[in-house]
Amino acid sequence: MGVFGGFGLALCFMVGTAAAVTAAGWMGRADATITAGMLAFLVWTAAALGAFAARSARRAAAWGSGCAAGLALLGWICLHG
Amino acid sequence: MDKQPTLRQAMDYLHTWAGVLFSVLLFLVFFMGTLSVFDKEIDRWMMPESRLPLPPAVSFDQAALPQLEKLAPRSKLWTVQYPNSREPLMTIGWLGKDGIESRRVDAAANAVLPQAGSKGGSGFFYPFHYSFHIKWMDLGYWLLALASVAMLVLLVSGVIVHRKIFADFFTFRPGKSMQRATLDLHNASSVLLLPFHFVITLSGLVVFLFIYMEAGMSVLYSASGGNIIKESVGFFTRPAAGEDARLAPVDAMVARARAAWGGGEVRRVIVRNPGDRNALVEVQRRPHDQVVNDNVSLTFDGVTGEVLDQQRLVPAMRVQRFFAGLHMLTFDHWGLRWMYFGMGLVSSLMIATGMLLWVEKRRVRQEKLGQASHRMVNAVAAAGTAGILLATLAMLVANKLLPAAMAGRAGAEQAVFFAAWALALCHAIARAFLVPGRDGLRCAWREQAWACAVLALLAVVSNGVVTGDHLFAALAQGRLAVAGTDLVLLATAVLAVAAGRRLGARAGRVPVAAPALGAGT
Repeated sequence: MGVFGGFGLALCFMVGTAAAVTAAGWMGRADATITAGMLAFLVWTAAALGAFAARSARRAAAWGSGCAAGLALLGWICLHG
Repeated sequence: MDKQPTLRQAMDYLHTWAGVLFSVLLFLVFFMGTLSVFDKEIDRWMMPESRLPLPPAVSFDQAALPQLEKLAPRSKLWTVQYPNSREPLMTIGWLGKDGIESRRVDAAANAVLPQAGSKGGSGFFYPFHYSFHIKWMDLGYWLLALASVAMLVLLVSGVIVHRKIFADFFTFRPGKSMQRATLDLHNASSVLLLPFHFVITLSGLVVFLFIYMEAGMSVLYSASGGNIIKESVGFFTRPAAGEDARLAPVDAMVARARAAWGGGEVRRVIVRNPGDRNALVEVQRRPHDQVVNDNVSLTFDGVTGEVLDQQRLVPAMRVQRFFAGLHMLTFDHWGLRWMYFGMGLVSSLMIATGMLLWVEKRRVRQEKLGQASHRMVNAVAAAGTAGILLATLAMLVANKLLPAAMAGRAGAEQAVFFAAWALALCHAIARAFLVPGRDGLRCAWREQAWACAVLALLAVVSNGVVTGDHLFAALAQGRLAVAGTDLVLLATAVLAVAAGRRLGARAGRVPVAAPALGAGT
């Protein structure tokens, strides 16, 4: 769950933050995508560590999928809103 | 109700089990990466016909163009890799029916060399480092991603479980018990090079950013169209016109590119749609004097020779290329190259001692209970570390002993590597389960260390006998790539003998059960 869920969270982080940063006009689309992509590897690692540090697997899954859903929603709004 | 584990306990559990699960994969990545630091030098050692002096001047129009017009007149793409201080040959390539095909050219004699009967360091060890030679559905790349994230997790969890990180920096007690000495070595090698372990792993992931994060990039670019590579690199392209036209002199374009760069070497020339009115010639610079792996390429109109475009990276792409350069050592710096080699070996040692620690910590308890999983892990650890070194050395010996004219010679060399590795695993399993007591655990390591010593010596001797470039001749002729490889092989033999003797001496002692140690103590 930590590794595969973490990858999903990392992808959502990349899409959400890159779309938001581009929409806000802070960076160009390519810059934002590459920057968010590089940071996403740290998110992936943190998610894998977080899954083991959490009090229970259910709690880790809830936090991970909640964050991923929030970031995906942010990305969708920025891309299509 | 069960008490919740503390953060340190949770991280200790993660460190232990992620370590044992990924250690062989990680050892492979680090060991092959360490060899890849000198992949071109290994090429010179494995391909004697390529031991040529660096040509003083290289002409595309005289050395590459006639060969490409003869070998691939209808191809849509030609590539020409220029010789450099580490690779004295020119490599010409073209897009054929089955992908990119290539030939090596002696640029001084303007002659195509026969196909090498070996994949060498850059064709076998280097791709092994990043893809494990598994091409199916890019599975090799994804295994590497898993291993890399596991490595980052192991590094962070390893720091958290450490109670005395500063003291461990200075602690190594080789005379103490096997478990204590292994723990000290694992801790010292981890703590000493922690920044290297972290940077090299993270930069390895960043190198493959466009593969691992492709899904996210597709989502971001599907909404409003465009292409991230074109946007971030400024890649110039145009379709073929369908009208024949002669290519303008490429050497003149190369000279203009050099003038625009203010000096520097050419890394590669790419010709798109050769022979067409819309032909493009891209001249790339070799980033030998900077960490950023930026080609600063200039694109010319292939027919008129006019400059059409200069590549400009967006800032984030420069950061990505900085990490790529840092990881792949695309710049020239012999001191740093040797440092990378040494640090890669220390990383490999850290991974191997981690596996040994797992076995030592469970040995006493499991033997009392009649369990044997530590024996299996020990066998896998021996085959996954000493066995990989043994297989590498067996491949180098096969490189010298297989007949030069043998059909499928490069494949046969590869087969020797995998056969030797499989044999090492069978040997380690047999020794772990057939030799009783503690010696059963050390037996495979000891015997494989002696086998490595013999094979390393045999590789040096066979290189001298078969090619005539023995160590002293190579040194006298200034063939430092060959001499350096021989010297590293001799050092390997000495270290393997020392390891074999030490393991033999320990086997002779009366075993004393060591007290159980925590990972962080």
